[in-house]
Amino acid sequence: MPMNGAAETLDAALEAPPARPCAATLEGFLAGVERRAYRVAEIALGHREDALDAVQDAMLRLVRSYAGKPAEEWSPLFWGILRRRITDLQRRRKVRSIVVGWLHGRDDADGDEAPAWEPADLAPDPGRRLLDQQAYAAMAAAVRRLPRRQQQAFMLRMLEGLDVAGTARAMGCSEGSVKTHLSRALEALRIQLEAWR
Amino acid sequence: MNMRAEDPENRCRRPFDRACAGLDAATAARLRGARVRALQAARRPRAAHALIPAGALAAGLLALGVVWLHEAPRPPAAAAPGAAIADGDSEPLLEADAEQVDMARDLDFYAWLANRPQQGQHR
Repeated sequence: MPMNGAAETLDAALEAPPARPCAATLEGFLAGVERRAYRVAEIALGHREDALDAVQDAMLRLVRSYAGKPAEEWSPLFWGILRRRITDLQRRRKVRSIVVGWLHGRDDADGDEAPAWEPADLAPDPGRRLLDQQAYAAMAAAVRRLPRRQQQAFMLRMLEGLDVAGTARAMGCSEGSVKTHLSRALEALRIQLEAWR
Repeated sequence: MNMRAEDPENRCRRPFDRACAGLDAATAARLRGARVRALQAARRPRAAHALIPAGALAAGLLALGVVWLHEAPRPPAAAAPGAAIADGDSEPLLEADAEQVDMARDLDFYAWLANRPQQGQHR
C-alpha cells in the first residue's frame, strides 16, 4: 500500500543515524561542512553571494562563540546559526522587495521568488554532468518550493544527516515538530518529484 | 536506475552530494578563505589575552626594581645641607652670605633711595 510505504520511509528516515562522523578539530569540522553548508544556503536563498555570506557568517559565529563547546555539539550549533542567518536574509529580501515594489509600482524578483541560477559544473563527463545538473536543479527547485520550516527540516535531516534531536536543536523546536515538518516535506517532495524524470 | 521508483530523500540526497563534491574551484576557494578568516579571527583575541599576564609580569618586575633602588644604601652627601652654588664658582656659599651679596649688588639703588626727597618735603 502506498500509505504504508510512505510511513515506512518516514520511519526509516527518522530513525537513521547521523551520516557524518564527528570532527576532532574545529578546522576539520568546518572543512568538512563548508561545501554542504554552501549548497544548503544556495538552495534556500537562490543566490551565490548571499549563500557565501551566510556560510562565512555562520563559521565566524561558531568559532567566536562556541569553539569551547564539545565537538559533538558543533554540528547542531553550526546549522542552527546558518538557519537563522538564512532566515534573516530571506526576511531582509522580503522587506526589500516590498519597498522596491512600492517605490516602482511592481514586484521585485528578489522577493518570494529568488532569481534563477545555473547549477555549477559537477562532473568532467559532459553527459553525466548534464544529468547531474538537471537532477540537482530539479531537486533544488522542489526543495525551494517547500514552506520554510519543512525546507529546513528536510535539508538538515535528509541532506545534512543530522539526527532528529540535532535537527530539533538546530531548528529551535521540539523533536515532534521536526517529525511533523519532515513528514509533510517528504510527502510534498514525493508529489513534486513524480513530475520529473 | 529508475529515479521515479526511488524515495524522495534518495532522489534529493544523491544530486546534493554530487553537487557538493563537484563545487566549482572559485566557490571552493572562497569557502576555504572564509574558513581561514573565521579561524584567524578567533585566534586574535586569544593572542591579546595572552599579552595581559606578560604585561602584568613586566609591570611587577619594574615595580620591584624601583623599590630595590629606593632601599639600596646611599653614598654620604658631598655637601652640607643648606649650601648653594655661586654663579660661575664652585665654592659653596652660605645662604646668609648670599643675601649680603645681593644687597651689595644693589648699593646704587639704596643710595638713590636715601637721597630722594620725601613726599610733602620742600626743598
